Amino acid sequence: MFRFLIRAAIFYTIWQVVYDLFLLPNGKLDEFLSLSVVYISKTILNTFGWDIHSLGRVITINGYRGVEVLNECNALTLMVLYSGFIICFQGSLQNKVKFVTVGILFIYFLNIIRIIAFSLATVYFQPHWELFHEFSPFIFFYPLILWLWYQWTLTGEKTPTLSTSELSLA
Amino acid sequence: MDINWRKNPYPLYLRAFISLIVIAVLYILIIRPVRIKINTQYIYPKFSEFSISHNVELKYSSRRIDILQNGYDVPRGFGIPFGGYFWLPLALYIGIRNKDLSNALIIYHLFLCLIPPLLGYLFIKGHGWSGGLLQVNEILFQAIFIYSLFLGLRGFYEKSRIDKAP
Repeated sequence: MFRFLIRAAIFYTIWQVVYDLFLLPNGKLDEFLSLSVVYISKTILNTFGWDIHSLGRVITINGYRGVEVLNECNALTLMVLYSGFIICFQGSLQNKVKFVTVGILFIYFLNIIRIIAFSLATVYFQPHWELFHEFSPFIFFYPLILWLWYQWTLTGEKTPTLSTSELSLA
Repeated sequence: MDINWRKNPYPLYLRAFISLIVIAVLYILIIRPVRIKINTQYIYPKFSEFSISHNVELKYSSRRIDILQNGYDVPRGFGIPFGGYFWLPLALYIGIRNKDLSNALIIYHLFLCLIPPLLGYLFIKGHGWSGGLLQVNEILFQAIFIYSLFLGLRGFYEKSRIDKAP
């Protein structure tokens, strides 16, 4: 477990340096994730008959408060947190690619659902919006991430070349 | 007749449930207000005083210190340790009686009491590298929280399987 933790710490440190030095100043990845989530959320809500518009990163149901998808809300960090575990925990490259891809897609689509839920929350329970926002990762992301991680450890344990003590609970 | 009172006095599910409820109540009624009070009355004023003397902006938040250093678009900072991200996994570890993981989590949060404030202090003084380390600390903090939760839930699941085994 200790080796895994060291590997993960190095992975996240490298990611943060790359993000701070290149991705954040460039801004394109954050912008893509935020704007695409806004666009898809708006389209879905429109399809269900909601009178909704968006301006940049802000999505607003007419007559209610807008929801802004900031960099911190585009789920990029969670995608990296999720992927870091998969990459650093032992397993075949093919399975890693599969798990990382599927996981990132799931997180992306859950973020769309989350932003839709935030928009609807401005209509139905605006006074509790902040609380809903604060605890939203526990509702939308963490159960999925924990389940996928668990599936990944099972996949790893089934692979004969792997050490089963990698994630022992001591 | 020997009775080991510590040997499974309650079923695992009940233990975990009680542990989560007790800690949630304690957190809401005592721990959260204490954290806010410590930050508002002691930590934030100290950092505020220090940042003013270095002409650096400090953003107020009840459970965080966020430093907006000149030349940086995004504030860098740290949360006050022993918050929900500590107590939730700890409640699970108490439920499954895992002392090793509980101790590791406590040691990590004691580490958070010292290192991030020190990095914040250095960042205000103008050491840019410490701002980078504060960002690294933020992502590691979240990673360790999710991983702690994972270990707690996995431990719970495995213990419940053992308990069910004939």
